[in-house]
Amino acid sequence: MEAELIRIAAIGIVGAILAMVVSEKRPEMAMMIGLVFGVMALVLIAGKAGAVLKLIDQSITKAGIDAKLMVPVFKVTGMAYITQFSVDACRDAGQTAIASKIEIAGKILMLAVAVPIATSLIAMVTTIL
Amino acid sequence: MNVDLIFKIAAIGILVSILNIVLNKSGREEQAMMTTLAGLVVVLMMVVKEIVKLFDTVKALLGF
Repeated sequence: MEAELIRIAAIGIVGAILAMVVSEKRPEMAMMIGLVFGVMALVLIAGKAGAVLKLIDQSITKAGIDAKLMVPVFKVTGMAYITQFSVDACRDAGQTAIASKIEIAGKILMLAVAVPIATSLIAMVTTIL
Repeated sequence: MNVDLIFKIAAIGILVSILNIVLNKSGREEQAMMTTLAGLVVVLMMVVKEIVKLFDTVKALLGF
């Protein structure tokens, strides 16, 4: 576990220094380095994250809760990650306006995923009453 | 294998800026600009491939 962290930290420092060297003449290349590092860090830890998610899934099914209820939670987590990644990329490029639009789009789409759960909860409450 | 990509991009950036300086000094501004553009496109191709990989990973991981 700690080997991965050390690897990611080391690559991050090297990438930051390289970006600093390049950014004087070519700021767009510095941004590309940042993007590639962002991708790399997640791909490196994807296996571990998958193991954690599987564990959560197993405990949920053991607790007797419908596994379908957890799907939107994971989905929104993934959407939040993608939104954050692209927003950060746009901010790095200096386009805060585009970044905030992506943020708004992400928020609305996440809400659209989450609303059916809330409505089903309300429906459940009304059937009890 | 992924660290190579960061080094590759940094190397392309340095190379392109050197070519830019040389071409500018010899009075070929158009070619200098073309080199810049070509370098940017090459790097963009590489980065876009990686970003697709990231999005696919997130999709596969969180199941949507």
